[in-house]
Amino acid sequence: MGAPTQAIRDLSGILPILVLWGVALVILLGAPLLRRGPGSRLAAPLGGAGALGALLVLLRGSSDGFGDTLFAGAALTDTLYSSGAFVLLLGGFLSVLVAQTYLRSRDLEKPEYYAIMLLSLSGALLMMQANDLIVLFLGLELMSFGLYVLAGFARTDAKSDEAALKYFLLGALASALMLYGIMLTYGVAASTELSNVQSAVARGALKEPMGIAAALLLVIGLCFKIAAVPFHQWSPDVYEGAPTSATAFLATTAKIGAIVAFLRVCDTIAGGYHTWLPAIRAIAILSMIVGNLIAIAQTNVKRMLAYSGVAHAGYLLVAVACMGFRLMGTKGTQASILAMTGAVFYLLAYALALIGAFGVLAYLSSRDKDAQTLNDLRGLASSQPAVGYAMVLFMLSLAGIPATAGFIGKWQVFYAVLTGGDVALAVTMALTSAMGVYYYLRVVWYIVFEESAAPKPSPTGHGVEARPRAMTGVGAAITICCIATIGLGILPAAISSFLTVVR
Amino acid sequence: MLGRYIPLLVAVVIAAIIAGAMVVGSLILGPKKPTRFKETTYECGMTPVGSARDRFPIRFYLVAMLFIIFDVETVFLYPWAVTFELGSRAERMFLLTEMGIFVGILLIAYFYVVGTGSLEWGTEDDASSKALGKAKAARPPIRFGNENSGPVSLPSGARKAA
Repeated sequence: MGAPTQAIRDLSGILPILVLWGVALVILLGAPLLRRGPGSRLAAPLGGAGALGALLVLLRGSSDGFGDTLFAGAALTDTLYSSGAFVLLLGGFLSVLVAQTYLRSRDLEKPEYYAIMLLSLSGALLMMQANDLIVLFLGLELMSFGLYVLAGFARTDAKSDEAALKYFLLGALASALMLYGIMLTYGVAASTELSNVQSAVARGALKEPMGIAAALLLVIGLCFKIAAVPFHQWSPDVYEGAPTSATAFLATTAKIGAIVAFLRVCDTIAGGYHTWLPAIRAIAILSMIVGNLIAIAQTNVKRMLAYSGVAHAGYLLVAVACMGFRLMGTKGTQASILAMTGAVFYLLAYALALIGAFGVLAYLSSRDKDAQTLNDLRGLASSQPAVGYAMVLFMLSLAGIPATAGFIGKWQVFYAVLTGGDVALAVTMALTSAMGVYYYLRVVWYIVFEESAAPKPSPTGHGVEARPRAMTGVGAAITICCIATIGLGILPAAISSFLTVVR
Repeated sequence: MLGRYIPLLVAVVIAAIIAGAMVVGSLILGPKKPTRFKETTYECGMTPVGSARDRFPIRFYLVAMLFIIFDVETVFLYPWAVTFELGSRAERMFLLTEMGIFVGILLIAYFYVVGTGSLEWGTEDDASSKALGKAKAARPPIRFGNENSGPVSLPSGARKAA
């Protein structure tokens, strides 16, 4: 009887993943029917239900059975996973809402989009639950394959094809480097399970050349996924070329999955911090400076958000760097726990603002026009005030202005790194944040103070007749993002029961 | 620690030197009397037909992917069938369920493939067959020999052999 009951316990630990898989398979099974006719409207609700269902299962399951390892130590459930998964699935649900409208108005709607999206989400979940480097890699690949396809979903658009190919080739390179790192880890630790790696590190495995190479290759592989300098070259082209709804999804999913995995890996190898901490600090500082500097020069909002994503990767790497302080006295331990909670909150704030911002671009796109540039936003506050001011709010949140969720997230990470005593990182973070305000506020300037270049659309005009009733999804997404961004900015404690990482 | 591998490194270096010496030696010393036919691509003794950079239907990739789906299934089925006998009754039920889920997922893939029409091989009015036909029509005449020799026609016996 041992094996079956154990299997049920293991499977219930990954129930959110199973829900995602189940719904994805249902969509694929129904794809021939969902492709055309009245059935084609069902794929998006199914996708949304899948993400939401996984979220509910996660929230129900978080009361019991925590801290367990599953599948003989291959996976685990802990608060870092559950809080990260909460953010991920919420972002996934909002991305489905954005996609529902955008794909329809751009004539791209196919049921496979949602199936791939759910499978990609399940990969990110697996990555967060991994207690073994091989499982982590498996999750990373499952997540990435979906993202490559989604980036190239506008198959007849050359830019989308370019985005997919670039993302795939560089992603494959990153995966190869990471796999090499895992192999070398096995070489020094004789195991890929994180607890064994941790004890190997405690025995000084990261002082050997092979151990140093392993740690650095793991760091590089994960830095590729979160687009940190100098591994960020793919991100502007991919963000720009991918369909806007796919950009929103891949920007948030890849970042959430990879950062949570990054936190876990660096927490595991904290004992050998002298090997990897200098590298992470250098990458974090470079990302913050380079990302913010290049973002200033962008006129395409999607490219600007890509470079701002590089800068945000830098801020998040500050939190990852705090993992290295874990074994440096009580202050350091406190800093590492604060950083985990801070990073997850930061990811939530970032996902809300980013999906909201891409949602606004998706809202403004129609069959023959894909809104991407600052000019497309010109005078939005007077022509479509609700959407315009929503975009203003998202920009303020990304910039980290108080009373938005972005500020709370940034403040938590900042506080964590100061607790850890790393003043250099804290100062860079504060200075570059100030730098970032410039280009976020430029978007605000275009929306609020510039006159609309095109003749003002009549209340009924401007493509509205081309997409009647199609606004439901993206409108809901923007509304949810707005409410959550303000709500979390004023009352961050409202959600802390889901997001606090305990150890 | 890596010192143990030095003999291996030496062997690699020696192998590289010997192989390099052979290639360079035959380049320098070997007599060269090129003819047209010597310079054509060697394809197992057959006369080469057309350029290697040719268009072929994208369906070949589809077939390759379908092959992977069902090939991988078989690869898993063999070891599963061998271990199945070894388990107790409860374990066998467990194993059976697991394989059922696995085959079920593959079945869904199969239904997807059939449902989306990937197994409907093109007829003449099919778009990709048309594209292929066009590519055939536009194909330049087959040339043998090198660029200095100009177009040549092979002896008729050679064509028949191809």
